[in-house]
Amino acid sequence: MSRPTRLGLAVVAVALATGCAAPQGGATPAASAGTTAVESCGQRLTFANTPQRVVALDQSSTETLLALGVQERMAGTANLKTKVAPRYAEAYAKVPVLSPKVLTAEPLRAAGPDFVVASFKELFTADRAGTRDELAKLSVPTYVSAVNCPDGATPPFERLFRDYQNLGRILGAQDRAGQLVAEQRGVVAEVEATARKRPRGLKVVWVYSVFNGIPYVAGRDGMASHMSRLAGAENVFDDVAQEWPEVSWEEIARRDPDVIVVGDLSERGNPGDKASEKLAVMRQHPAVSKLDAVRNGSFIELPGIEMDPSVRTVDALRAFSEGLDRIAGRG
Amino acid sequence: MADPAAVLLDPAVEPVVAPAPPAQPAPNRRRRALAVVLSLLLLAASLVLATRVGAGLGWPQIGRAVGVRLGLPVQPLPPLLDSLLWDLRVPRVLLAALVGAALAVCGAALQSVTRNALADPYLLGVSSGASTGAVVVVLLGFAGSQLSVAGGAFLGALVSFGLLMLLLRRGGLHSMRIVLTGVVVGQMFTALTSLILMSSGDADSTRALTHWLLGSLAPARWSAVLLCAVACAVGLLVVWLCSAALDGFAFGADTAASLGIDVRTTRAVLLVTTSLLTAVAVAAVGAIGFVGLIVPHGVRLLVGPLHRLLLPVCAVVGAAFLVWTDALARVAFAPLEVPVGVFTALLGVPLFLLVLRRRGEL
Amino acid sequence: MRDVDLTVEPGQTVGLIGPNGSGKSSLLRCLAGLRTPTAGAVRYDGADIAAWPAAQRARRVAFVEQTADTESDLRVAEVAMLGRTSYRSRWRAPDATDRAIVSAALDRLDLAALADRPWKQLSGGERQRSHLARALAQRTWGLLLDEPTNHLDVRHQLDLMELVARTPQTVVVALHDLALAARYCDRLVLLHHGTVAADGPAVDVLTPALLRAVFDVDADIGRDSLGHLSVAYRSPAR
Repeated sequence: MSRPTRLGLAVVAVALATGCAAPQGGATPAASAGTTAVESCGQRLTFANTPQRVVALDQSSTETLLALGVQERMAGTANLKTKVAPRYAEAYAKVPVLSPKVLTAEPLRAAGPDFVVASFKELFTADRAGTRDELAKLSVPTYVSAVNCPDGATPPFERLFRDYQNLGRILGAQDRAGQLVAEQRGVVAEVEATARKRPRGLKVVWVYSVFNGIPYVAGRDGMASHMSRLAGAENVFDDVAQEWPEVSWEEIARRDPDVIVVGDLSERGNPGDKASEKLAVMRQHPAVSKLDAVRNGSFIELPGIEMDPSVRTVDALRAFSEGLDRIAGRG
Repeated sequence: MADPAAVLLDPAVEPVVAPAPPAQPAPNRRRRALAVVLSLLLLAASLVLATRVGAGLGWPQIGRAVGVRLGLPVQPLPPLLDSLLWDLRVPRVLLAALVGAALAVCGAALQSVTRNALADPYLLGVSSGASTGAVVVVLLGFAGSQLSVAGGAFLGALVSFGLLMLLLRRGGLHSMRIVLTGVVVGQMFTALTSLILMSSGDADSTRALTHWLLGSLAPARWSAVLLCAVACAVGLLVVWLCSAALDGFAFGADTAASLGIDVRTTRAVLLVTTSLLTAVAVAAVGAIGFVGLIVPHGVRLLVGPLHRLLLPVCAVVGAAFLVWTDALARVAFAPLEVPVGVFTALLGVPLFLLVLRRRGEL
Repeated sequence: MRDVDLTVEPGQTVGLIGPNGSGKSSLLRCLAGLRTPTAGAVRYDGADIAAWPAAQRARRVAFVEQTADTESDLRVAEVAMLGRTSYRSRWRAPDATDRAIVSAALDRLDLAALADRPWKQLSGGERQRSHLARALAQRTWGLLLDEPTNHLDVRHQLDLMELVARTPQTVVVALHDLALAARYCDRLVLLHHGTVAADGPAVDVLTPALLRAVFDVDADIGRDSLGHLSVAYRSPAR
């Protein structure tokens, strides 16, 4: 009931945003007249001109910027956990890598940014990139993803979309941002529509990562729980108020999921990161191997990186929904 | 009583010594003066040179930035580079110097007070206690104030020191026992810190606090420099004023007491002062190990064991040592920063083993 | 320790004797003010020292432990200089007076040649003498020595006891060697199970009956060829 209304509001917001920023040059807007103001995670950012030297502090924010097509104006990126999505590889090659891991304050300032984007507040501490206040005093605005600042009302995908819109306004890429929002919102709507045709209430566990033999699964606070609901399924660890809680195989077996989502983190390259390794562990485990889900092979393999909020998460949502179709249809 | 020596040693006679002619200084006095001058030069050169080490700044840029401050007609640096120098690099180098001096002097003092060549704020678990205190204060929501974080660290340091003393109350104070007890106390506080971090929820804020466990100068800012400078000025002076007592501890508490040293008070003053210095250092940069071990041992070889000279030279050499180790931490794997504690441990552990072996305990 | 009532006259050399564990070291530590007696008091010239600051005590009485070892690389002169601690202000280094006193003390104990040697390299006897030099450098009225002859060869035992006996200071010295004690001390105090078993001139204290009661040995007391009191042990008491 509320969804069409909200959609309508969002469209109005996009239209307003498009209306107030002057040039529409896509990737190469010149300095524009007028001031753009954006609220980001407790700070009000104002831009008299379009930033020309943007630094992204992590993979998710890097990919969002690449999706907005602003790679020409990126002065650097850092902290990539895995490879960027193939569709961004070409654009990514043009961006200087300031640090393979967490970027610290000195190399950040040496890179001379005029705008810094991050997915997490915690990247802005004194021992990392420097605090947001410090950078603000140096006239370097800092953007923190809305996903990292839950307001208790907006669902995670809408928070991602808000990022696209905000960054699009700031960087003069409103058109691209609007497209992206429309596309992704379409995927979400499609998944919700498919879900209505499927038996509801499938129990699903998201095995994100296995570290030292211990499974890390989706709890209530992450994207995966939200995706489960969108697709009409139920995340069996929704009682744990964390993003990726550490649990035990016995507990997974006890909750007897109908579907097991397995995160593939091969690009990260640690032992146990491949989906196949996780499957092998489950097939050998005395209790887990006896689950119907395991015996029937009710697995859905997804890239682990897409289970966290990013511009690629809709891909996981779509693949998850298709996986559920496959499993439900077979059953 | 014609024997002048007998007169000098006779308590009944006030000792009168003719003012010595201003003779040429004895060779060891000259050596001492040389040690002080050389180590001061070393420190000054280190401070200047280390400022150049790291991303983004060459001598021309530093020259321009300094020139502008001196009012010379030079082109100012871009604001971000200027702030890289003045807000990050300079306080960082100064903080490294202050923390290095504090830890080295704490090590030297603790080695004397506990009569243990292996005493060091880190090995005795005091740094870990301070870390716990600092983390608690930060998680209680006082992260903004350097003073309250240092206060929490100070309480943590005192508690861990108290626990150490309690555990060592009975039985001999041979070095293995002290170090093992210290390591156990340290491990306990490290575990406690981890527990507090884990239970505070939020994995990312947890990650942001781990530098208290590792020791890194990356968060160095002026506020920490000022607090450390004040604490060092007071703390180092207090310890230095205890020089004679620290010498007197060489033969144990009873001999020290018979020499006229108030053993209890001196111990208490030194333990509180070293806790304070360690706490301020830990609050600023986390637990950096082994500086208090390496530096005093090296300096003793140079200037001998008398604390009146040993302590200031330790302060200067410790400062230069941490300044350079941190410079190494900045550039060794640039642009990645290695926590400086990793390098001090890499240098310190072999020395630790050497000391143990020389004492036949390994 | 209990029921010890002892008054030492100025200039006296008092030998503390008694078997291991009889309380010699404890008594010396009480006298030095390092331990506070649970009952009773230690007085110097009639003044109770319990409340004295450490430095004030250290200028009146010096104490040499039986074994005081160190891992420090202090030199011999620096060890002797420790005796000047209670006279020095916190702010200043040892001055010419301190150095003159230290070198006089080292001379007195025949250590001048070793002044610059690391203390750790000395023999046991030299170490003990350097402690004594340190005690002399304290310029005290009283000297409390805990078995100072333990590590010394005969020559240095005699040297040291001569020095102790000749010094104008009041000396209380714990000794193992009864003959040495008898020869050099004006007065002997025999301790047994923490109390005074006998107190007086050597001839009154070193009696076969007391030796049997306290040391559990059968011994004859006689005179050696020089006329000094000698102790000849027959056997452990049966």
